[in-house]
Formats: sequence, C-alpha cells, structure tokens
Amino acid sequence: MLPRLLIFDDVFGRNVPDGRNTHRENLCGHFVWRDITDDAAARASRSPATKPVAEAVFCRAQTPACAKVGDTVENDLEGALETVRSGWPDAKSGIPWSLVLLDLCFYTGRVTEESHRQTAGMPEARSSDDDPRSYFGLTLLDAIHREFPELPIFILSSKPREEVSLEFSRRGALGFIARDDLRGPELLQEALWQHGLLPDADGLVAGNSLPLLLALREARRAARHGQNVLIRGERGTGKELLARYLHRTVGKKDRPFVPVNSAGFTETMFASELFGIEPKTATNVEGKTGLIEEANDGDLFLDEIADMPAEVQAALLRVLQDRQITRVGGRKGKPVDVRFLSATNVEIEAKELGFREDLLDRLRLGGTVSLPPLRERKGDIPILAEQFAREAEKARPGALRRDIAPEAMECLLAHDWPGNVRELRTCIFDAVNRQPDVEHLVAQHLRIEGQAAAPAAARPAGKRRAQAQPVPVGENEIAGLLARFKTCEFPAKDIGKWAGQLHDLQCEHAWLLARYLQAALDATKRRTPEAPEGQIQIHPAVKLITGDSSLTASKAADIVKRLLKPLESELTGDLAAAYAVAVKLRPHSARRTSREPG
Amino acid sequence: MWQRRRNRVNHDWLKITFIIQLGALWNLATAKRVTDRELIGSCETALREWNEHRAEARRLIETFRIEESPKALFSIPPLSNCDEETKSWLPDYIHQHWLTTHPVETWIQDALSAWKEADERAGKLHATLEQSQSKADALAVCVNEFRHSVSALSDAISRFPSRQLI
Repeated sequence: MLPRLLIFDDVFGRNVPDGRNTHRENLCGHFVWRDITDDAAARASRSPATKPVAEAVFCRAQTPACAKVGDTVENDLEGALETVRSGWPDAKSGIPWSLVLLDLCFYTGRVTEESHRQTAGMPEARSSDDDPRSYFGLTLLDAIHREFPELPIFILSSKPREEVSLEFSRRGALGFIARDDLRGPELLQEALWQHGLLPDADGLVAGNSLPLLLALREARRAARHGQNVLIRGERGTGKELLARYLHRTVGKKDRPFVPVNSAGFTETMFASELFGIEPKTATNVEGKTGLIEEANDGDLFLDEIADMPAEVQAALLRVLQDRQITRVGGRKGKPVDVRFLSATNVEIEAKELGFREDLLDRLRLGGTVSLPPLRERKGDIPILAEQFAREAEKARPGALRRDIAPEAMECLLAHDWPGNVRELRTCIFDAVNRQPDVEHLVAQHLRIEGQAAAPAAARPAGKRRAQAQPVPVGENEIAGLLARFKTCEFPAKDIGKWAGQLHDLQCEHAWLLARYLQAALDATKRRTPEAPEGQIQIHPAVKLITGDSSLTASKAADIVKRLLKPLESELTGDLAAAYAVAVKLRPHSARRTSREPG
Repeated sequence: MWQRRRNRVNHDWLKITFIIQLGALWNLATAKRVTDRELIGSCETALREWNEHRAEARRLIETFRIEESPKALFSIPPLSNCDEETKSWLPDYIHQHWLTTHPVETWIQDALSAWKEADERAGKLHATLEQSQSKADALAVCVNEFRHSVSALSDAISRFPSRQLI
C-alpha cells in the first residue's frame, strides 16, 4: 500500500476547464506520485514513468475549484477541512492521510483574461495574498492542526522559508520543503518515513487505525539508528510482528532475524540457548551456536523478557556492555553486532519483578514502543477479519471464499477482544474450519469467547460463604479429594439430582483452590519487627503450591490472577491483597496460559 | 515593477513551473520504461519552454541596475518634486552611492553567469537531440545538467534584494 498525501495548493490543486493541469502533472512527475484526485485533471494526467512512491490527492482549498474568466476565486477553509476529514482514519474510507502538504500563498480575486492566459483558472491576485503575515496557508495550517493534532503537516512552497519559519513551527507544521529544491523528492521521502502515518506496506502488521499508525511511526523512529527497542503490549497484540516490521523496515532486512521466547526456557536452558555451548573434547561435550551468535549482524527478538532468570539477565547485560558473547563453558569472548528487540506484556519496571534496571535501560536505548490493544483500534477489525478469513480459507482445503456479513462484522466490532488480534484470528479460523462450505460468514458462525460470560459480577456476594464453614484438610485428604474428583460421574438417568448445579460447582471449586492458596500465603509470610503479622509474598506461595521452584514471579502472578479472578468481587484479606499484587504485576496478561507467545 | 516581474519570472515560472517540469523530465530520462520517443518529446517541450522565457529572464537581470536603483525614485513623488538643480546631480550621486554600498554588480554578474550557464546547457541538450542515434543516456546527462543550471539561475535571481535599497 502506498502512502497517501493530501496536498493543498491553489495552482496544483485547481481543476482546469480543458481538463489538463500540466503544473500538477509535472509535480507528480517530479515527486513520482500517482494522482488519485477525484477530478478531471487527475483523470487526464499520465501515470508516472517509474513506480510511484506515493498517492496524491490535490485540493485547491478555494472556490470554485474550476474557475473561468469572470469568476471570483475565494479561499475555502471549511471545504478544505472537510477534505481532511474525509480521509482521516475514523472516516468510512479507512485510508488515512500519511502526510499533508500545504502551500503558503493562495491567490484570490477575479479571473481576468490576462491572469487566465498566464495560468488557466488563476485569478489576478490581491496584494494581501502575498503578504507573509496573512498567508492563507498559515490559516489553514492552524485550523488543520487544531482539529487533527496527530496529522503530520509539512509546508511545500516556493516562497522563502525564512519568511515563515517561526510561524509555521508555532502553528504545528513539522517542516518545510522548497518545491523547487532538486532534492525535494528525497526530502519528502525522509519526512514521510520520519513523520508520516504509514501503514505497513507489506501488510504484515495489518491495519490503518490511528493508534496503530502512531505505534508504527514510533517504532521506525526508535529503531532508526540501529538501537535496541523495547516493545510493550498486551498478549496477542502482535509484538513479534512489530519486531519483524522493524527488522524489514529499518535497515536489517537481509540480515538474520532470530526470535526467542524467554518464557520457553528453563534457567539452565536459557544460558545455553542464548550464548551457546563451548565444545569440550575431553568430556565429549558437543558445541552449540547460541541464538545471539545466530543473530549476529541482525536482530534478536527477545519475547517475554520479564521471565528471564536473574543470572541470564546479568550475562545478557555483559553482552550488551561488551558487545561480545562467551559461550557456556567457554572463556574467550566473541564479538557480536546484534540489535535487541525485546517485548514484554508486564509493567517490567515493577520492583516485585526484580528485572535489572541497568539491563532494561540498555534494552530500550532507542526507545519504547507501545502496541495498542485491539479494543483501542477497532477500526482495524474489518481489515484483520478479512485477512484472517483469507488465510483460514487457504489453510483449509476446499473452503469457499466468503464475505463477512454486516451483522457478523457488527458482532466482531462489538467485542472487546481481551486476547487481542490473536483471539480474533482464532475466532475467524474457527468459523471457517467449522463452516468451510459457505460463501458468507454470518454472526451464527462466530464463537466469541466470553461475550456472554460474566463470571464474578453476576454472583450474589456472600451467598456462598453462608453455606458452610471450611474445615482443615486431614491426612491423605487431598489424595482422597482428587480421587473423588476423578471418579465422580453424573449419570444421565439421575438428571434431576445434578442439573442446574454448574454455578455452585464452579464456585466451590474456585473457593477450594483459593483456600489452598490462602494456606500457602500464610505459610510463606515474611515476618519482620515492623510487620509482626507478616506480609504476603505471592511468588514463594505459588512456588509452594505448584512445587515448581523455578517458577518466575510473573508466572506466579498469572496463576494467582487465574485462581482468584472468578472470586474477584468476594475476596477479602490476604486473598484480596494477593489478587491486587498479581493484577499490578500482570495488568494485561491473558486468562489462559502464560506460555503463549506475545 | 521590477519586483513584480521578478516574481513572475522566478516564482511563477522558474519555481512553480520550469524546475518542476525539469524534475519530472529527469525522472522520465532515468526511467527504464520510457521510450526514446517519449523522452525526446518531453525534452523538446522543455526546450520550447526555455526558449519562450529565456529572453525575459535575461532582461530581468539586466534591468535591475536601472529599475531598482534609488535614482528611479526621483521620477515619482515626492522626490520628483525636487528642484531641477538638485535633480541634475543628486540622482546620479545616490546611484553611485548605491552601487558602492551594495554588491549590485556581484548580484548581476552572478545571475548573468547562471543564465549563461543554463542557456549553454539548453544548447547542449538541443545538440544531443539533433544527433540521430539512440541517446537516452546522453539525454539523461544533459537534462540533469540543465536542471541544475536552471536551479542555480533561480537561486541567483532570489539573491537580489526583495525591496528597493537605498
């Protein structure tokens, strides 16, 4: 997809009675744009000889757009603003302006025989038009910037820059390109790359919504000098796709891209996988190239960095400081040139996580990019749903190509997608897999998880607690309990005995696990003279109940959240405190598994 | 009047029209897809455009010394009301003073050199067009030289002061 420019200019934007605007044709030829303005001049113009670098929509910002001898040309601020609105991401067209280019001086007044002979459709001009203090372009700049503060605006003019440099900066323009500058096309490309709202041209990070385009721009800016970038975002927002976008877009396209899921390794594996293993003939230890070495000259994508063990953090810090790695079991360092693109879905600065600040600073040297959750970029759902439908049809042999019916799209748009893009993808794939032989994807085909569920909120608070008082677990009682769970059946013939008990079963099950956690919290409390009652510690408590001593703090928080979420509205005391700590640590983690890639 | 003429030559023609036209021509000349015929047609159009305006550009440069000299102020009120005796010596004196206070000759000579350079590049482009064999590469070189020289001419004209100096 090409960037789309909106150009306000009286000469280049005007429509000409005989249909051809040679000024505009030449400008498009000079900058190598494809003119897609909806007017006769665009229809009459030739395509650029080379592959266009952008699409251009021209607007005169004056009435009439096509002036004849005898007409009076006047500036049209409201009409110009309407044109901007028509291509803003919220508009129905869905294709946003990447950048706006503004002329400064707009000639007004009567179109005379003489002015028309010199330039068709142009008026003879009023003296105030050419006064830098009252350029209409600056008025237009004010108005556009006020209504669309995120829209990047550049001045494209033949007037002397110094006349207006202070004014255009004050009013929100990002720069000035002299129209007659021979380097103009390069300058504009640079401006587009640096400031433009550009969708991913390869469509890998699909979408046109403003939050996404701003994130892509931030990512380009952060990575432009080859520095490390930290990507934040909830699970399923597509952090790895963004890393791949940076890899393709910012300088390392033909170099290696090595993705690493930090959550997938144990502490010992982590070091050997990242740094490699030095071969040892004496002990028959085989050598292994580490992932950092594999990524040499390219990018290493470190997902879920919060799960990185402390020892590995220290070793990674040394790599970043010394720009060399030492294999496990090795002594000599080997120089490496790797850009680290890291990702996390937790508040990694939180003290409780214990992530090294010095390492974090190095991992985000270029900057931090936040990927918006899907609920904040719902405008992208139609594009994404179409894309996933095509992928799913391709993956399912014999599946028909289908349209997404409007009511199905409404369902998709109404959902908040806590699992983000990944959840949407799963939903569409599921619909296509279950209904391969249809030409329309309708609302009934969609199984949108959680849309009807309202776990804790619908439950009357306190009702469950009134039924029975817990009793301490006896010797071998857990084994008995588990055995009972495994063997308990619900025979169809006794339907009257067990029907309608789902809610109570869920409640009791949740409370059983909550009490299990409570016991562990009690057992692992840290008691100090300042807090003789003890302070809860969720990390050791969850290690205790899972029996997993290598469990990371973030995973422990995920487990606490998962256990207590159904009881959220009823929690008190230590359990309420534990839940609050877990939510603070993992505000955006999904409900299911902590091992899913982000 | 001179400033208005300059605006017409430099802004309306060179900057808004001709330099951009040559930029488009340059892209055409370097495009692989374009045929010699298309390229030749566009070069001829550009040369016609130059020939149509070259004299006006030169005249603009040459008339600066007369039209923008403060001496010209003596032909309009209030200075035109000076007595004849004063008018017999003061305008020439002021003119000489203007020539020595400001780099008038440098502005003019620089602009004339730039004009001459552009005109020569136009001539070279014309000569290359006249040759009969396939010439896309040669034309591309000429177009590039021509557009740079025209851009330099525009810069030189821009360096003249934007108001009448005394």
